Amino acid sequence: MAVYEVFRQEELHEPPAHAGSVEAPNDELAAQYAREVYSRRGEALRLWVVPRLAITQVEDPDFLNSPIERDYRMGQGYRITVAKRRQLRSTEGTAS
Amino acid sequence: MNVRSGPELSEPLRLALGRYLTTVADDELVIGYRDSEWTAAAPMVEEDVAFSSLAQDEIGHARLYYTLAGELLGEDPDRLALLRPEDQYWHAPVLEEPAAPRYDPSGNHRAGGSWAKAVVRRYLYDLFDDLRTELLLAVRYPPLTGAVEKIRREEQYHLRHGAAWFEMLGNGAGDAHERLQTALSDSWPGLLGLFEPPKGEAALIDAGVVPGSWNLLRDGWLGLVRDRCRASGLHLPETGVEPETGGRLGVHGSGWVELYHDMTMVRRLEPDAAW
Repeated sequence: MAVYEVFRQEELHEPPAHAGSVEAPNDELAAQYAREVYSRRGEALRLWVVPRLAITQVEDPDFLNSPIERDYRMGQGYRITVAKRRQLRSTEGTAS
Repeated sequence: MNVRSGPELSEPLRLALGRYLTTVADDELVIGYRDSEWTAAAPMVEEDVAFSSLAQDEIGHARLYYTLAGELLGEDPDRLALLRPEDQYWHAPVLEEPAAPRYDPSGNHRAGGSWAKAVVRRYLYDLFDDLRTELLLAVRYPPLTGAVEKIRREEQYHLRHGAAWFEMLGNGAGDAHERLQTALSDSWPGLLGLFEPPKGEAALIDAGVVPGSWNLLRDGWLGLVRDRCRASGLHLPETGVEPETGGRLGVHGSGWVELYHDMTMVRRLEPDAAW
């Protein structure tokens, strides 16, 4: 028996989103169980049924979030640039 | 010509076709009811949901056939399904036998049940029904065709489900293989009884309404079952044994006494209630 994660696409332009999981002895029955449990009332356009073991899990906090402060890489920094540019423009205006 | 009413059939042929479709419906209702008893008792919770769902599909197919039979017989489909006398159901007896565990309020429980028996019966019945619905597509009664096409689309998924279990248990470790082989051998005469044709079939064939007999489906079915057994590490039981017949004429066993009572008990409390 293996655990399968089930992803369900409900609308054509939406990505498949995690719906839940099923336990099954093989891929064929996993597909059948996924349909019964996660598209019982025809909710799905498409199901992705993935053995949980096929998923590469990434959860190391140091890997996901650097322990070293690096706010300078964040987009928020550019807000200061916008303010500075505005300030500069108004200064230039007075000069001319 | 009104398409719903189909071609003009003489009175005896109309009644014979009504009986013919009621026989198909009875098979579907009875196996659907027996398999629904696995709800909350299948080997794992996902299979509970899947097997109950397949069972409900069969009851849905029965409803389509009873509706068509009802139009021919001038009878309400609910009354056909649940209010006939006990000896006027025409299903094959193998389908009425209990397989699931049973809780009995009087304390006479049936523990365990036989999942192997349920798997064998379900899959081999579906293989039979696949051949039968192929035959039904060629029956010269237009209202039937559309219904059978839809049923066959749904049945493809039943066959996939059955094949997966049959192969898994047949090739399985532990006592899985042994149990499946025993269930196959025990159910064999009953399964051969599926091919007993409905009463009135000969007249329908003579009139050109029905293209051929259920009896003639047997060789094709044996070929399929032989292949499936080979793929699943099982041996085919002796094909020459006497089939268990009589079901098509209303002759049933103790499983039917129990099932008829369970199935109709609510309806019989107030037969004319509106649902």
